[in-house]
Amino acid sequence: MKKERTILLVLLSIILLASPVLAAGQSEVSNESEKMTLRFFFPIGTAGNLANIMTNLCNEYSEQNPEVSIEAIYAGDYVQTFQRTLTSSRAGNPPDVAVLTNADVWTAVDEGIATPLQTFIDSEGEGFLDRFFPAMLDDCMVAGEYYAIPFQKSTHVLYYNKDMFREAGLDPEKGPETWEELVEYCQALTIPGERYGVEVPIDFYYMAVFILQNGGTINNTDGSETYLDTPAAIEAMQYLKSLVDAGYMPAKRLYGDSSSDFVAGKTAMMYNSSGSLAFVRDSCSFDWGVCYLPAGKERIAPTGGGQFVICQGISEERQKAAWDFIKWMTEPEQAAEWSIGSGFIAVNPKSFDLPVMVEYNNNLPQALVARDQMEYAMGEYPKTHNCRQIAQIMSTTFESIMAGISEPQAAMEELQKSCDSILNKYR
Amino acid sequence: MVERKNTLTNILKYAILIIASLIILFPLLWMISVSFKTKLELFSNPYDILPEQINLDNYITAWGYAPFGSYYINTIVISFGLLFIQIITVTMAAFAFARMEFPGKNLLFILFLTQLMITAQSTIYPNYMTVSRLGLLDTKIGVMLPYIASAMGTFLLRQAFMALPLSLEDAGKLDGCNILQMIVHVFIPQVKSSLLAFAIMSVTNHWNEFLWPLLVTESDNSRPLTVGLTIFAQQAEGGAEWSLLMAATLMVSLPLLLAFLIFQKLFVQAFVSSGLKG
Repeated sequence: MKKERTILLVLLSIILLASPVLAAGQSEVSNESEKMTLRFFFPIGTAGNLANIMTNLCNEYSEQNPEVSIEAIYAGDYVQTFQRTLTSSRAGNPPDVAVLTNADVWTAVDEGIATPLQTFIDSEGEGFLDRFFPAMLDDCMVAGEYYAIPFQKSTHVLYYNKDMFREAGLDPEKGPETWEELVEYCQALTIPGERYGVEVPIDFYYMAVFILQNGGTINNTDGSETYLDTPAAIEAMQYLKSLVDAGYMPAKRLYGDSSSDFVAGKTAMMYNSSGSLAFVRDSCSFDWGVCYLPAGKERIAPTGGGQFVICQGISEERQKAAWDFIKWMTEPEQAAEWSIGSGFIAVNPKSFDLPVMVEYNNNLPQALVARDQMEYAMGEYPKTHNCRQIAQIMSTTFESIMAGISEPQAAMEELQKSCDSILNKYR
Repeated sequence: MVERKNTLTNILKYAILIIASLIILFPLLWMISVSFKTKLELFSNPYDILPEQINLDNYITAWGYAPFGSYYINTIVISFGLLFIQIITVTMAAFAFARMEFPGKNLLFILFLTQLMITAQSTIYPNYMTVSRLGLLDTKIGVMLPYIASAMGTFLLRQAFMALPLSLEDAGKLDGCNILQMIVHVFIPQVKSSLLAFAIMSVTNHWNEFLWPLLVTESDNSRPLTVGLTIFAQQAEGGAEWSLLMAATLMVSLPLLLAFLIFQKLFVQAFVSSGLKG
């Protein structure tokens, strides 16, 4: 009996001892009365010590602005960050600021959890938006209105293996400039069974890129209609399919697979995000370069990444503070710091004149190609209501075309029909 | 002749077992090997299992990416604290379902079991609302709350209790046990293996859980290891940092791996005698 009593006593004391540990975190809310604490949800999209860099940036802001402190909360990838933002907003506990990808900015507006920013932009006076690369603003608008501010943006470039270029008798300082040249280069570089000429990540993003390059359109500005069964769209898919059929390109790769294949020498060229530049530099043992994406009927460089959104359901005072924080984060110094740490392109062109940035670019001259390509850049597509779902079926269609499961024409007509039925209620 | 046939079947058996265990072991070995390689080495000799040299840089870098020290403590408190609560709720519920009579017992039990068929993801939103209203967001209790009653555990223990002979209960009654004493002294010692099997499942599940803790926690005081691990896994635009990811994965899974190696015999016994598949 004695033994049991001791066991019971031990268990009881464990519970008692554990309860303050378990309840930790509750008590921290109490001392915010004088100081405003902004909650900031951010995703991680590239490699690096990003959670710490972000925390440091936010601490720096809090030091400079004693009345506000920023709590940087890592929220997973883009999808999870949005899920989190939506769930907490619904539960009446919205974050003040979140970084969302373009597709989710649309959904956030549809769900009524994002604040329109025009009044804030106006309050800064004429020309505030000139601080950004113009193409980056594309992704900040929903049906023509500003709901977001660029923060972590990337563009996509063509990476190529200079050693393989030399071996195949190609000029290592020049990549393919057009779709026709891409085919010729692939022909020269492909070794059947051993290496591909080029790899293109097979997802909605690249479906949109090739259609746009071929002179097509993805959707209308209202985001209520897509144009995926047009001749330009079908032709773009046929072009890529012909690369797969000729054995120049694998039928299924995604971003991470491509960069691994590229550094392992399994492909001579790849389409990939500028966010992979540092990874390629640190991982490959050969001479490599990057160039603009080959032009189709048009030269178009896509951008991607995330932008700041201010949430609904918080006081006007907090929204103002959030706006001030966003403004600070996109000043040349901070934009440069984040760009160097993360590999995203600095959103503020003035960042490129700062000494730290000049040094960074000396170590990674390929990053300047990405910057210069911004001249031809446009935002990320599709830009529609219910964007995730549209993107999802675009990806599946793209995959099934490349895998030879369905014919380009039939598949794109089918895709357009599915998009119509999803977007019907927004017309 | 018979003996030769026996050795032959034995060789065949062992060959199959060895191949099967290699297939299972390979990812683990590869993970350990990659975690010691530099990026350059990884992509120049991806198939070498032995790294050129033991290089701890990946571990040092990975450790610095997030406060893994407090994440360890959180994960341990969450998964073992939860197990402790679950054992209490589960044994009591199982005892009621197995040994007590009350109206609607079977219907209630079936309702209880339907919980097994609902995926945790689909209840995330209502759970979030509940935890939020209780003011338990960003606390360890908030992370544990949806799991304190386990249908799986209740089912498992009910079956185990039902298999025990009635005479055991009678013997307990004769000795003057009340219900609580009966559960603690008579029943629990008989179903240790079922309890252990349940404990293994529960701890591994909650050790590895990611989405729910990510949603309800914000500060480093309450976030578990898995949240720290994903910092390395979400770099779609940045190229795959395999060596860092593997080092971090090993750091996160090591305690469970070690525990399994140390208590292997006990665990296998538990699973065999409780009739569960892992």
